[in-house]
Amino acid sequence: MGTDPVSKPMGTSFEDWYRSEYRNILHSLVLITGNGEVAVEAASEACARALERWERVSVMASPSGWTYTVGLNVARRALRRARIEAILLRRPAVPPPVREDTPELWDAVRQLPRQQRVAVVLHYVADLSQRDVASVMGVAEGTIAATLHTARKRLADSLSQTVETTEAGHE
Amino acid sequence: MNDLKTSLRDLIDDTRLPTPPSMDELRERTGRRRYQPYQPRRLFLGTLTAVVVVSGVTLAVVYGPRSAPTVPRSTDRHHAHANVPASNPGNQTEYRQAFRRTVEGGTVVIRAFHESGQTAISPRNDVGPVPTAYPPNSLEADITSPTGVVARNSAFPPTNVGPGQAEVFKAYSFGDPGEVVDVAVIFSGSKVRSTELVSQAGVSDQMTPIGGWSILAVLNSPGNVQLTGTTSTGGKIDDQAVSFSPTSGVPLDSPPLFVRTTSDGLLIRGGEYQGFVTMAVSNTWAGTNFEGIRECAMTTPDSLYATPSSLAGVREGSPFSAIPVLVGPGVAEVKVTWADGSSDQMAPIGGIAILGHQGTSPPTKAIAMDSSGSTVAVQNLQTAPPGGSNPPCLR
Repeated sequence: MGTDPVSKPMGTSFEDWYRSEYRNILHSLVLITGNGEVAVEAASEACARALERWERVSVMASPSGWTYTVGLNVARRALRRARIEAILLRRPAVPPPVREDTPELWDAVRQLPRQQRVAVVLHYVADLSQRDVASVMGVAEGTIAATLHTARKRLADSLSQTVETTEAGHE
Repeated sequence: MNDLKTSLRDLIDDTRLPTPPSMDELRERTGRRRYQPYQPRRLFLGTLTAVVVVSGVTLAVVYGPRSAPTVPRSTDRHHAHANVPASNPGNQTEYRQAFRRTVEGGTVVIRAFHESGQTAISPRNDVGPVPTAYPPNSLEADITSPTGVVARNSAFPPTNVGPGQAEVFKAYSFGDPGEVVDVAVIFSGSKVRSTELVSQAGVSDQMTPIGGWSILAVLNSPGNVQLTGTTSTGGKIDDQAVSFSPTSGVPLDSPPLFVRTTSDGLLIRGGEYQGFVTMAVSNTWAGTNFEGIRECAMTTPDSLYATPSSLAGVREGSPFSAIPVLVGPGVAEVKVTWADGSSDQMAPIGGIAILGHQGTSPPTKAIAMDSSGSTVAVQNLQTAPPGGSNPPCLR
């Protein structure tokens, strides 16, 4: 497996990195959490923390990987709070900001187990290499490969189609 | 779906997402938190502190003092009254001093003791246990009146009383006419914080029970006397009228021949009762009655007869001895010496002298002197009295 240098912005400023990465981070968190509010808050918070520590984060092997780790942690806590608030305050569920013309794909993604959903999103949407995904998720790289394989098969089954992935850009 | 990546990215409807925060908004968010990155110096100091603390704890665990042996927790939930001095520090026996207190300006001394619960101690002027068992926390007491009368109580066993109640165990009067001491021995429940005797004449005595026990005394207070008290919850115990009965047996207040204090602080009261010399002797921590010796008039002017008594106050940790002496009419001064070199002397009254000394040292000699100070008779006290246990005038 090769590594993708796309998320290694040596010498880049935070602003450049932020402009190129924010949308990916936000999209990924929306797909993972299924909650637009939580995703926006987590993405903003993760980027703010990256800005605070940019001197240290910028020289990491994967600044984006670090930011995703922070974003996922923030999102996990925010989701927990949101669930409690929804129960206590009886707040109505806010529909996720996904396109309405492809509901079957969203349903398929949503039905993936969390581990598989995170792996798929980080790999295909956030453009992280399998090594970086493994680092973000705190598991072995081989586990990510197997997880991605299972997730693809599951998505294909859900969509009744064979998912032909183009691994060239990632592997 | 040929391209999963494209499909997933296109899944998000950007029109329903807010615009990304600007750089200023991000900076404002970071500014609110005042993030301070790790500094090597702070990291070093933190690590050093942790190492020191862990090392200290480890050293304390490995080399620290062993835990002290578990001391049985006292079930005594009472507290000493401020006016109750500490127990006799010299008392190393199993005979435990519960409390010692004085009333009426120190003229009446109350000494209370706990029995060991294993071996009984009474009578206390004997050395060695007496095979009579008393329940644990039983109380013995002796009280000395201003004129040296010593009233002794046998052991009282504790009783069952309600937590906020008090029971008068015994109430009696003793002492010389004009100096009558009314004593009440009281056992109270665990919630009683204070007991008090209040006489009709307005005299009162109060103490905090110790081990449930309290001994209260009032002097020269004819009329009704009430027992009252307070509990830890601020309540009052039921008031009780206390009636004091005279002491039974040998009247303690039989007319004294003399009351004297030796140079080392022993209070001696000498008297006569039905042909016997009676003695009441007490010091700070102990007091007792001696039966004395048979009394008779010594007709020979220079005659001398002394019988060493046994030690008293041994279990209280404050031993003493007293020697009654009968002398003839020609003797003006009697002196007794002890093995430790000390001596006590007095002019006999009615042919009787009682000499005393604090400590365990045995008496050695009794010496009779005439009015000129010349020795007229000497008796060795380290051997049995010549002629047996009766004085010459009774043989």
